[in-house]
Amino acid sequence: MSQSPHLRGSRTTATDYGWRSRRTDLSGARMCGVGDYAVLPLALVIGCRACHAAPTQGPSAPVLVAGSAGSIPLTLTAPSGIEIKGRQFKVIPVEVAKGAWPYQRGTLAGDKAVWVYGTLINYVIGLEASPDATMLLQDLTEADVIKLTTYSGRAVLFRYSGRQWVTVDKTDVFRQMRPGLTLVLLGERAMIGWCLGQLSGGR
Amino acid sequence: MPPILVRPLPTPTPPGPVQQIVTADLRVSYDANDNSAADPGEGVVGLPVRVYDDVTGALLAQGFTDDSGRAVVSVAAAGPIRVVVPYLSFETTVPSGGATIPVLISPRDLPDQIP
Repeated sequence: MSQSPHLRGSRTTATDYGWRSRRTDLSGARMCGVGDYAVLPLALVIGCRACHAAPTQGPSAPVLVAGSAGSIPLTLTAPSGIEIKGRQFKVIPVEVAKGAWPYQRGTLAGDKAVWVYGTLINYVIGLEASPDATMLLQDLTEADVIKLTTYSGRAVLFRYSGRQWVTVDKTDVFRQMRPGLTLVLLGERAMIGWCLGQLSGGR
Repeated sequence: MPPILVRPLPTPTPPGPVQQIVTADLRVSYDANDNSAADPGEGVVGLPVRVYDDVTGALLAQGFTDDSGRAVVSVAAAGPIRVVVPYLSFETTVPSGGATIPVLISPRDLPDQIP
């Protein structure tokens, strides 16, 4: 096994447009470090691959989990779809290279989401920050169950547990040390991380 | 008061299979530094773990991995047991003598920026 060096992605600085209005729109969200991200350089991924491009190692890659009983086929754990408040999204894997999440605004259809390949403990799934998707996530409550379906048809259920504003370089929300699901709005100047606890592992 | 006498039945109940304590020591780790070893701080916390009788399929115990990613389970069983981590679709059979079960998850590149 080898791992690419964790380099910073390409960066640029964007003008500070509209973030205050978004704060107002999402007033229900618990905001963390708002003052910080207002002055941080904003990160945009440039020259990235289209989200629909096949990853160099997709679900056909056989092993990410190995134990004394052998390895587990990735098809059992890799997500193929997600259902949020009755809305279905097809999940497309994308592979992060050198820390850059390949994404271009406007390339992700409304019924598609992207899964950061290899995030099998804390599933990291991105939705394009359209008004619909933003509203969908904003309306989540603790009563909502989110269903993630794997390529083998296994369902894993999660329950909404909270959300927060984070700066674009706050990547500890992607840590793989606890089971969960983190939904990310893509294309915003700051991310809303929706951290969810696992409701059921399914069988 | 006369003493109570206990008389054994003429046809004693046949003894069931002999049970013994079977111990499974599961450790689930996310190999963050990619050295193919489970290091301190790499344990996966809070994963549900279930233990079944491998012969009857009966659920014997259930719990979660602890702060170090471990779940040590000792159950009485007549034979091998089956340890299941449903979240990972992982399962393995542990013989009567017990076993240590390491599970290692390969790391992948994670984003360092939110697009």
